[in-house]
Amino acid sequence: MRIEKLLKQLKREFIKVNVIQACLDSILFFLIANLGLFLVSVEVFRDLSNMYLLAGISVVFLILDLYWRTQNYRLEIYEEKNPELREVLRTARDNLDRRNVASQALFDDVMDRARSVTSESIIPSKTIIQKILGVGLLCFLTVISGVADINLQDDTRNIFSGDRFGGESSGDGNFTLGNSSRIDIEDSNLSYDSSNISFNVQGESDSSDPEIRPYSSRENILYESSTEGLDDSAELAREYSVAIKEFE
Amino acid sequence: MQISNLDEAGKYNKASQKLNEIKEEVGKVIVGQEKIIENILISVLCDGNVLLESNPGMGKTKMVHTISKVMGLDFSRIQNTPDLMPSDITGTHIIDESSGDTEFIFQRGPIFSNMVLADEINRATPKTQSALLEAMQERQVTVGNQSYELDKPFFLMATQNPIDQEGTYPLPEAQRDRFMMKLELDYPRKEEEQEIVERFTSELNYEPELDEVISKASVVRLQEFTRQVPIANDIKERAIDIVTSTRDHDDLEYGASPRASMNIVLAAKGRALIKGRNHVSASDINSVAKPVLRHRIGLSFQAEKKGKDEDKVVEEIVHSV
Repeated sequence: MRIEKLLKQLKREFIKVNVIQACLDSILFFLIANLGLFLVSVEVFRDLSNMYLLAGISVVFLILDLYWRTQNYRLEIYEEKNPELREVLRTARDNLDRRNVASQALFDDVMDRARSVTSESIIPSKTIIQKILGVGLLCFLTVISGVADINLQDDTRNIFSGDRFGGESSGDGNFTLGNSSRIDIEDSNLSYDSSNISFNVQGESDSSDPEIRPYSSRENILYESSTEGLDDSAELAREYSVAIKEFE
Repeated sequence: MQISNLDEAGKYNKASQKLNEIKEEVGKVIVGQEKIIENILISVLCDGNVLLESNPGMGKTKMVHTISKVMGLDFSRIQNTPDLMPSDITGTHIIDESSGDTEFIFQRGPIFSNMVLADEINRATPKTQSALLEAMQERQVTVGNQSYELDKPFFLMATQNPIDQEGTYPLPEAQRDRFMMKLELDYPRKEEEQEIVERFTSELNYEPELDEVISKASVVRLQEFTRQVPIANDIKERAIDIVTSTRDHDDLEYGASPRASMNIVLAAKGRALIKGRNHVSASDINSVAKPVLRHRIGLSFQAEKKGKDEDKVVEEIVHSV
C-alpha cells in the first residue's frame, strides 16, 4: 500500500517536472514563431491576428508535448538519477502483488531509500535554465524588433488571401482588386447600385519595372462610372478624382 | 504497522546473516574456495544438485562434509565404481528374523541422507547412474514395486575427475541437465595452499569445533524463503534471453533447456539472499550463468577448433545480452 503510494507520488513528481518543461517549450515555440512572422511580415490569416493563431497552436503544442512526455514515463529515470534505487524500484513495481516476508523487506527498504529522493533529482536543471534564458532573450528581441520596427520584408504578405495586393490577375494585363459587391459603404451617404460600378485603372510607368511590366500597355489612368444611375454624390466623387488626377 | 514491517525486514536480514555464518564456519576448515562454497550454498537453498569437477585431493569430501555438519544435515558418501549396483545406493529388502518371525524389511541405502556425495559418478554404470536420477529429480527411490520418499532436504553432490577418462561412463546430456550447477574446483593460490598445509599437518586429526548454525527444518524454511526473493521482470527476461541465446549460437551444437532458465533465476535469488540483498540484481544473473549453463551446452567442432570452451561462450553471451 505504502509502496503503491510512493510509486504514484514518483509519477506525479515526474509529471510536475514535465509540465514545467512542456510550458517552457510551448512558450519558446510561441515566441520564436511570433518573432519570425513579425520579421518577415507575414499575416497568416487576414481576419485573424497572428497572436491569437500562435496562442492556439502553442496550447495544442503544450498538450501534445505533455502527452508525449507522460507516455515516456519510466521508473528507470529515477533509478538512473538515484543509484541507490537501482533495480530496487523496478523490482518493487513488478512485485506489488506479493505479500511475503522478502517482498515486505524490499518494500521497507525502498521506502527507506526513497526518503532521500526528491523530484529535484530528475529535473534537468541545465536544460530548464537554458530554456528560461531562451525565453528571456526572445522576449527582449520581440520588444526590440517592435520598437525599432525591424522588418525583413517591406510589405505585409497574406498567406491565405491570394495575391499580395489582395486582388486577382487575369493574365492579360488586367488586374481586379476585388468584387465590387464586397464594398462596405454602410455609413456612407452614397446611394449606388454595386453591379453598375467598375473601376478601370490606367497609368504610366517605367516598363523595366518588373511589377509594372504586365500593365505596361496602358497609358492613362481613367476613372469612370458604367451607368447613368449614379446620384450627385457619386458624380461629385468622380469629379474630385479626375481633378486630383489632373493636378498630379 | 511499522513494527510488523520492521519484523519482516528483520527476518530477511536474519536469514541472510545465518547464511553468512555458515560460510564463516565452513571457512574454519576449508581454506579459500569461497566462490565454490557460495555456489554449493546457493544449490542447497534452491533445492538443487551439484556436479563438481576437480582433480583428486582438492578437499571435495571435506568441504561437503563440513557444510552438512554446519547446516545440521546427515551426510553420506557413495564411492562409484563400475561394479556398483543400484541397490547399493538405494537399499534393498533383507530378511529380518530379529523379532522371531521371518519377514522382509527394507534396508535403506546411503541415498537416504540429507547430503549425499556421489564420488566419481562417471565411474558407475549407466544403470547405477540412472538410479541416482530418480533420487535427484523425484526425491524418491523405487525398490521392487515400492517407492520410498527421501528425507527433506535432499542434496546430491556428484564429482567427476576431468583428467582420467579411461573406463568411465560420461553422463548423458539428459542426466547432466538435472544438476543445477556444475562447479569447477580450481587449485588454491600459493598462500592458501600454505595455510592448508599448516592446518592439516599440525594436528593428527584436524577437527575444529564447528557450530551447527541452522537445523534441517531451517534449511527447508530457507528454501521456501529463497523462492520469495523478489525479482524485476526485466531481470527475469535477461535470464531467459541468456538461455535462449545458447540455442542459436554459432559456437554451440545444442543449447540449454528451459530448466536452465528456471535454475538461473532460482540461483540468482539464492545468491541475492546470501549477499543480503532483498531483490535479485542483474549481477546475480551474470554471476550464476556460468555454473548453471556450462554443463547444459554443447560446443561445436569449429568452436573447439578455435580453442573456445563453454565458459568463454557463456561469457560472450552474457556480455552480448
